[in-house]
Amino acid sequence: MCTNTQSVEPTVVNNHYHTHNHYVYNFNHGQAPGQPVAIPAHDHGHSHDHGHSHDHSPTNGNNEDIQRMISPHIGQIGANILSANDRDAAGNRQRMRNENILLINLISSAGSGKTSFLERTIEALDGRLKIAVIEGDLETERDADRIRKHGIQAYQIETGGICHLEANVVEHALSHLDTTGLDVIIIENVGNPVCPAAFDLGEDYRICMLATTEGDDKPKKYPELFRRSDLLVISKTDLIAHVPFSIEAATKEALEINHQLEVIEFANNDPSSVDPFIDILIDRVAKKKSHHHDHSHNHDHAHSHTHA
Amino acid sequence: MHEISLVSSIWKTLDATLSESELNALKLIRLKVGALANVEPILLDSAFQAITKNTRFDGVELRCTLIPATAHCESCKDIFPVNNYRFICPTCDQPTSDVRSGEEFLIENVEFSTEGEELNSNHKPNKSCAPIPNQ
Repeated sequence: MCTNTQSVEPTVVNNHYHTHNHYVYNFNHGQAPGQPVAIPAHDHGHSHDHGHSHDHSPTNGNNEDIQRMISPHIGQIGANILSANDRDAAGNRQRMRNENILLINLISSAGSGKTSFLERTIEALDGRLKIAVIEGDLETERDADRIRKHGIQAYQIETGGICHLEANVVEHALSHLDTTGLDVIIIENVGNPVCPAAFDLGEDYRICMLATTEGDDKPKKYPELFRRSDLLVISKTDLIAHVPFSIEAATKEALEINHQLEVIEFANNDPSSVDPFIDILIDRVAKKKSHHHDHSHNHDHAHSHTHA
Repeated sequence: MHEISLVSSIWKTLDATLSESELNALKLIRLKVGALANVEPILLDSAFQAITKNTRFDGVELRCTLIPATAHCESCKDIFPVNNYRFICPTCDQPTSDVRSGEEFLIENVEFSTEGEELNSNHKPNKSCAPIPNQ
C-alpha cells in the first residue's frame, strides 16, 4: 500500500438528525493525515430532544440532507484503517529523505531467492554503494548471518509468527542500524507474496520476486504485490529447462496488472545476471541524492532536469 | 493472513476515537473495502469474530461494503471497471495505472446500542461481510 488514494470528502456533520434509537460516530481523516479526528456524535446532550430527523426542512437542503432523510443514521466520513501504519511509513520516508538513503522493500514467497539475490548484489556492488539490510523472518537470525558474512551490516527482525512487516517495526530496526554514510537500505520482507503487499514501510522502491519454480500463473493469483511494485525479478531462470514456466507469459500477465513494472531475470549461478539491478540501484541512489539536492537549493538550476 | 493485524488496526482506530462508554455500547462497525485493498472480507470477518469472542465486544457486528475497482484511461478519458486485474482500457487497449476506486479500506461509521438494549449475546458468525454481488 504505497499510497492511500481514498478521496473521501470531509463533510460537516450535524448530529441533531440522529434518531433516539441509534447514533452514529463519524471518523474524519481530512485534516490531519492519518490522525482520526472524532466528531462527537453524542456531545449534544440534547440530541435526543430532536427525535425526528425529518424536522429539517428539505426545501433548503442539499444532497447531504437528502441522504440523511433516507438514512438518518449513516455518516458520510471515513477513517483510513491503516492510517497508523501510513503515519509510521511517512516517518520512515522523511527520515530516509533527510539522510539521503534509498529504502527498498523486497517481497516474495518464501524460498524464491531473495537472500541469494541480495548476496549476489552485494558481491557485484563490490563496495560501490554503502548498503545495509533489514531482514524479516518469523524466526532465526539465519538470513542476517548470511548477509553479515559479506561484511554488510544487517539487522534481523524476528516477527514471532507475524506474516509481514509493518512500518513501526522497520522504524525500530532503523534505530538499530548505524546509518552513517549509507546509500541504500534493503528490507527483505517476510517470505509471503500476499500480506506484505498491503503495508507501506516508507520505501522509495518496491521489488517483487517470482521464481520460475513457482509457476508463471502467479501474477494474477497474487496481483496486489505486482500492482504495487516497481520491479519484478524473475528468479531461478537457470532452472527454466526443468520447470513449466514461460518468462514471456509471466511478464505479460504482470504487465497487464502494472504496465510500469520493470522486469529483470536473475539466476543465482550467473553473477552477471544482477548487473541490470546494479544499474537500477546506482541510478536510483543518484536520483535520490539529486532530488534532495534540488530541494535543499530551491533556486533555479538550468539543468536540474538532467538528473531528475 | 494479515487480517488479524487489520482487525487490530480497526480496534486501535476505534480505541483512539471512542470513549469507554461508547466502546461498551458499540453494536455495528461499517467498513468500506476496496477490491484492490488486499483485504478479504470473509477472512476479515472470521478474524474479527475470533478476536472479539468472549470479550465485551462479542456480538459487535462488522459489515463491509465492497468498492469495485475502476481505472481511468488517459486516451479515452473514460473510467472503466477493472475486471480480473486487467488494467487495460477495454476501448482502446491502452494500459493505465490511474486507479479511481477500489483502494479504500475505511471505517465508514459505527452504531451504538441505546440504553437498555442488549447486545445480541447469541451472535452467530454471519455473512454480513461477504462481498455484495455485482457491486
